[in-house]
Amino acid sequence: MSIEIDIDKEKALIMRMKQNERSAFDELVCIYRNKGFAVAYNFVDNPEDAKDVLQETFIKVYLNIKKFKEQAKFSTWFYRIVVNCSLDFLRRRKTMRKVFTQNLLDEEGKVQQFEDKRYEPGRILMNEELSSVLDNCISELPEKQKVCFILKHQNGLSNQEIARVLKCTISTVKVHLFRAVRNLQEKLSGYLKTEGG
Amino acid sequence: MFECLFVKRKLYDYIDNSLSEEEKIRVKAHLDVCLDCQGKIKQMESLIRQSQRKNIPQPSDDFWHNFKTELDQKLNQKLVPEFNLKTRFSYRLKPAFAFSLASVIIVVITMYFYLHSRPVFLAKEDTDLIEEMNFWEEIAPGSLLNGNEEVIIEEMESLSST
Repeated sequence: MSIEIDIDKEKALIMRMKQNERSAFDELVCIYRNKGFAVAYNFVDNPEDAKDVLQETFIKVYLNIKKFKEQAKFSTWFYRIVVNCSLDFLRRRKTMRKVFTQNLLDEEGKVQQFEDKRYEPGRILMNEELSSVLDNCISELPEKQKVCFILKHQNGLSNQEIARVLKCTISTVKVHLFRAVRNLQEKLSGYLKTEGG
Repeated sequence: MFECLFVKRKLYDYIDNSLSEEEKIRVKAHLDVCLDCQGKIKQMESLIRQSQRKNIPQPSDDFWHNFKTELDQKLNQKLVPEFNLKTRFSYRLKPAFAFSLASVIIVVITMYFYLHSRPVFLAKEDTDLIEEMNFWEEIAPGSLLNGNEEVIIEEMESLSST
């Protein structure tokens, strides 16, 4: 799931951004917004919250672009900021006990801005209950395990990319992943027997 | 039993295809004969498959339009902070400039009092005495010159002698 962009084009964009060119920033937003949204959504589980997290991410990118040393890939730096913003958001939400749900937004008469895929044919086969319990269990995982699991299994990053994002070794990522899966397996053993076998 | 413990620790790497060839063969051989480990790997695969199926909403064009508008507003607020009293008074004079300014103010005040004040002294001669009396008359009319000049002179002399 790495972001497909020509390296030279990306370097040129970053160079222009470092010279405070706003149009370069706008282009970068267009390139990275979908991937950033997917990562943020997997952490916060709510489109409106994911939007806030992503906006905060892009603001940080704009304000700190001069600190970005082009030794690593921009996507790695970007993912790191999205992850940090998402974790900050989750900590704030936990503290303030705010719960925003899509249902609540609908009740308030807000325009539904998302394609509802709940009733797609492929979706009918999915175990809704397991999906919901799984999301809860993932959200209860220790922070590092949660980050590794989400980036690997929900956003499709490789172990190497995750290691770069978290500034740790690949072995550490593997340990976090193993523990995350083991913890989830323990919590979901009842559901997994009926679903998988 | 020992083999089960070994394989259970390697199951995730087996699914992730990150085992060496030798380890892969060992795990596969064990899986062929161990029902418990077969169950474990099926659970693990099911769990990972389920996580990958998570439905991420696809934002519409309207969503991205609003997103960009709000982002620009938030960014502009960050770049141009709102004017308020706190920021206004946060500006501080540079120490050297402040010190020079304070010195000049002190010198000007001192000069003003020096030039506009008049020393009070006791007259030793008649001309001085008259001048002094006129001075006191200006300040407090009628306090000294009450017509009895001899008494006044005596008073002044007694004062000067003390």
